[in-house]
Amino acid sequence: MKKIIILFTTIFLLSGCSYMDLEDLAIISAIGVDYDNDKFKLSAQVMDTGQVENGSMEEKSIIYESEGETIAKAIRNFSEKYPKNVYFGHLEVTVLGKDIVKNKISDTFDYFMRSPEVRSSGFILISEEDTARKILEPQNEKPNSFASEQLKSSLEGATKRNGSVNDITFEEFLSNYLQKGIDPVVPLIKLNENQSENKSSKTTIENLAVVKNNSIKKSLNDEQSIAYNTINNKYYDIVITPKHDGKPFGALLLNPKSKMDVKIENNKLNVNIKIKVETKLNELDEKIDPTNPKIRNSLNSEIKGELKKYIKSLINYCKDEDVDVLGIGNMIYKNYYKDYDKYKDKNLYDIANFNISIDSKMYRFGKIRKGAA
Amino acid sequence: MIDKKIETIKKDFKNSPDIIFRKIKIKNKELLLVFNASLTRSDNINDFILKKLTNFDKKITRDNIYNHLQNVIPENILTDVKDKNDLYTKINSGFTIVIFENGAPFAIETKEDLSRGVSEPLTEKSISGPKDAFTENYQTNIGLIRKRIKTNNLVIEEQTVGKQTKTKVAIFYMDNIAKKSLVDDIKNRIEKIDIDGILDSTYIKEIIEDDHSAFPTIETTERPDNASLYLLDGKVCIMVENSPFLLVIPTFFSDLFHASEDHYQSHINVSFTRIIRYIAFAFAIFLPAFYIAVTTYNHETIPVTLLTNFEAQREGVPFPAIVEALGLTLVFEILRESDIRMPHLSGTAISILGAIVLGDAAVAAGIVSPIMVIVIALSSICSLMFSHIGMVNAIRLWRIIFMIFATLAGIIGIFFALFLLIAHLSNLKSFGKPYMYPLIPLNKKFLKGVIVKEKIENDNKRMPILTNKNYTRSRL
Repeated sequence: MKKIIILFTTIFLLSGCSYMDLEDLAIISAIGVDYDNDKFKLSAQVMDTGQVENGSMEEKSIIYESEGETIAKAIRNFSEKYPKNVYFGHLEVTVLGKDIVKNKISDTFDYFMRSPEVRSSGFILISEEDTARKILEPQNEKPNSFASEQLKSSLEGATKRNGSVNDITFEEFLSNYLQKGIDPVVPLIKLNENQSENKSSKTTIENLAVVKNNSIKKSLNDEQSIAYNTINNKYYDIVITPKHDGKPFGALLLNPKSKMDVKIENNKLNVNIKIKVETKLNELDEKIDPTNPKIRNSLNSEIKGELKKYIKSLINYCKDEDVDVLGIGNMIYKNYYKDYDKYKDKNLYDIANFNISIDSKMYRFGKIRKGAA
Repeated sequence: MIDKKIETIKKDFKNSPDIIFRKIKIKNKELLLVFNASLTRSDNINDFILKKLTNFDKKITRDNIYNHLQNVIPENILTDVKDKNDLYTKINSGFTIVIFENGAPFAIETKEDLSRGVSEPLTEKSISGPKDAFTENYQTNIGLIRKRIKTNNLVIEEQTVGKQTKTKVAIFYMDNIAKKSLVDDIKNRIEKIDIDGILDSTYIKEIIEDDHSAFPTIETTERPDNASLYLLDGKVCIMVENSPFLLVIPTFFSDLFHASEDHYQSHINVSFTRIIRYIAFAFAIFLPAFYIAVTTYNHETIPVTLLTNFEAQREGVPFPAIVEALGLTLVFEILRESDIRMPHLSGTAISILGAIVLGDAAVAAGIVSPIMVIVIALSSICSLMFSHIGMVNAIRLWRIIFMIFATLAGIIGIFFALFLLIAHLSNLKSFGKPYMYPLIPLNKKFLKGVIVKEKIENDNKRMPILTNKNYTRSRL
């Protein structure tokens, strides 16, 4: 009996959560952080559900707003204006607005890492041109739609099937941000111009920006993003357009299996990038037969060349901007700890010797053989 | 002389109206027949005594008649009466006593069959397999087992328990399979019973049980096929006079997950059904607790769309989740109890009242949320999957314990209650045998056999915990 009493008391010491009835919660699915007049401005998108009537349930998207000198204070200030308790356990998207990006980017992270109530496996987006408040604003045509759900699914879709962005979670982002020798990428979001013309979509997620030393560097272009995602095995299938005899053709890259390692031999830094990718012919505007081994090989080598071009472009970008998105510094820190100080302040992409080997196999050509053009 | 004897018996029976005294005159000699009218069958008295004596031509003495009857009555139902007490016991057991002016009386069994016939099992229903069930008749019950196991290795040992009721209690076991130590233990425990009356086998069960847990550590069965199967496994059965339920010793936790149907279906289908039963057990115990935990503490454990759904349904319900859950459980238990006690004819009315009035109207009135009705109804229906009433009640008790812990500490509370449940179950013993066998202590071969069903030809070994003589089924 004594044992049971001791065990029973420990469950109250162990459990950190407090009792909260479900109907008192405001479930926040997206939060936008802005900075204005020395104050953090939060805009939280609440998933509000009306009462069930005749079996149908009406979902409304409401934006809660508050401000405070710290994020923690701003979150507590929500209760001044709204009856329900804000709840971050289902946070899906965090959007950082333009003013945060300019001067306070690293000040935002502490609360999100420290507070156990905030889920950090949601996605992070940065807006360079607009405030986060505007991004989360529901579309006029669909007042009931949740911006968070749209942002989340388009981010996932673009990563898997386009390769130009990366659905990095807040957790991964922070982990990269805080580790030595790696600079995190983060997808950018902007409001579409001429919203009256383009009614079905309000925002565009485009390109990856690199965060280094509390500021945003120039963003990667599409090709560099594809190279980044190929090396990090991020996408499922994407389309690239290499040229054969001066004419572009569509090639699908499937399931990349890449490996990168760093070796220091005789004071020389060697970076080996091995890429293994399946390819599939997607579009061919020439009257040639791709099943012919000769043509197939030449198409294949064009794909390899194209991919190699992308990777070289990424390396040049890193060299020019002095950022380390691939985490070469991090690999040196992990594998050659003693040498890390020697390389810490150098531009690694300038001094490293890159060996890129690409292994691609094309064995699927679609429903027809010869190009239809 | 005979009249004097009548007076004595009448006085001892306190002038009971069902004791009949009948004087017969044969060749100027008087005989007295004494019997209990409610326990005897008049046909039997006619056939066995009166008809046989009409053409009796020898001298009328006690010994002459006794010898004559012994020769002409087909069965061995003629016995001597030892003393006065024996005489009264015999009258009360349906014997007819023949009393002479001179010479000791003797008794002839003329019992009336007072029990209902063999009918279908009511509590352990099955689609396939035998359809007969034990009745309140002791001899019939023995016969139902005997006709399934036709070997003299089946031992039936009889004891009489209950000072007033003098109830016969029989222990069944297979001499060449069951462990001697287990049989002796059971015999000892029954001998030690000191009680005035045994009215059903559950009396014995409660007295000889090891631990008093909500979970049944001694199973009862009303199916002779089940009883025979257990006997062949090396278990011991206890049959009590006037009770249609046999006790099976020892009982393991896994036995409660097996239905009699299981033995008569293909092993593939039965394995699937058993897995469903384990899931149902988990649902029955955890579901309301888990719902309470996720709606009050651990909101992050379920998908957000489900959470908003729950939130919309909870909106406007005035009570906290635990009050709602306990209230609904109470209503369900009241419905179940009244349904059991109700005569069959009004059962339908109760169902309609329960389903429509209490369920639908309570939701419409905003007293409970629809999702809570689903949760409680689902977990209650899951618990009714078990045919053993003790199991159903044990699940109910633990469901409430889990709900209370979930209210106190959320999912951590559920794990604490789970810890208590596992500790409780692994601590239980059924006649010295671990209740959780073959899981604790682990026996992989039999664990597979109880979780899923093996093909009958592969299930050829007996559990070593039940037998120390013949492990292989076919080799006897």
